[in-house]
Amino acid sequence: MDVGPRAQEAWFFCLRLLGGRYAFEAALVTEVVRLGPLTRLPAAPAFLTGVFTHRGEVLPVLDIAQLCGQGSIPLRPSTRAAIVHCGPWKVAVVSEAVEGLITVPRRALETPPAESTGVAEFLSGVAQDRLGAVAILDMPRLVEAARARAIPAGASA
Amino acid sequence: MRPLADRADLEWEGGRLSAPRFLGDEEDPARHDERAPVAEIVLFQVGTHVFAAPVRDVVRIGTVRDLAAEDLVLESALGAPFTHQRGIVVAVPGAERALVVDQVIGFRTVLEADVQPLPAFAAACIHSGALSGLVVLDDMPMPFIDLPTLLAEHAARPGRAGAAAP
Repeated sequence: MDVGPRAQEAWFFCLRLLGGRYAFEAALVTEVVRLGPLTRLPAAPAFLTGVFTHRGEVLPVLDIAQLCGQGSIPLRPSTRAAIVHCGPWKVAVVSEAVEGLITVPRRALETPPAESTGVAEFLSGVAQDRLGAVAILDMPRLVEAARARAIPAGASA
Repeated sequence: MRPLADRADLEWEGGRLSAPRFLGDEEDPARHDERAPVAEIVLFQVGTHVFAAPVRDVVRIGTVRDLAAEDLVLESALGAPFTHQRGIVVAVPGAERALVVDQVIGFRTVLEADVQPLPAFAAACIHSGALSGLVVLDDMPMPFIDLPTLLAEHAARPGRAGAAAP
């Protein structure tokens, strides 16, 4: 078992969203891309803002702010997205800005506030690093919740 | 986007749409690999958005002036058109309905490989059968619409006459 310095730190990928710093497990991110022209999809939930092509692959775009009912991420030519793999799902998560990889001492990870509204519902921890406070998102749970919320009431998956 | 050869592309021919032709097709007969399966699609605009649909689902395209008001679909899952002048007529069980559109942009022949399913996450989040996939044209994905399903879902919306009770 690795008990060296590396095991004492956790790696996260950090985005700026909703005016704050949000991070999630770094291994989920495959790359960061600049959003191409977006195609909106009919009958899509608001958090699924559209699709775009990246290297010949069509990727869906997830807006966490919309999912949490906290407005929407403004989409500009400079907007960047992190391509995230969560189980069977591959989505491009848009952000206000991409900070990139950060490390947080595991001992600095704290339990999140016991709130169940907005983005707080999807937090697995909070921490402080040299740039300040960072909220840790449980991204697989967030993506799965998005999918589940898109199912109309009374419909089977 | 290639322009239509002429307005005859939009006219009746024995009750069905004539095969679409395009400017330039004559000069480039080998535009597609003849062995590759192809699909004929119609491109149309509703509001600010452009959609594609299989030509085989279209009975005719034309002015909505001569159609009964109850046969017009003015607003659907695709949105609402700015104008109410042109319609894409589609056969639905026992009738014909016209999806009112702002513009019929034209027809294209695409390789079937250019018609892709929705990305898995999008497919899991969208529960309308009217969005049957995406057509990628010039590296830009475009919603590929199943017109009969779109109009059937529109007719089944709660509050519409004849809609099934929930």
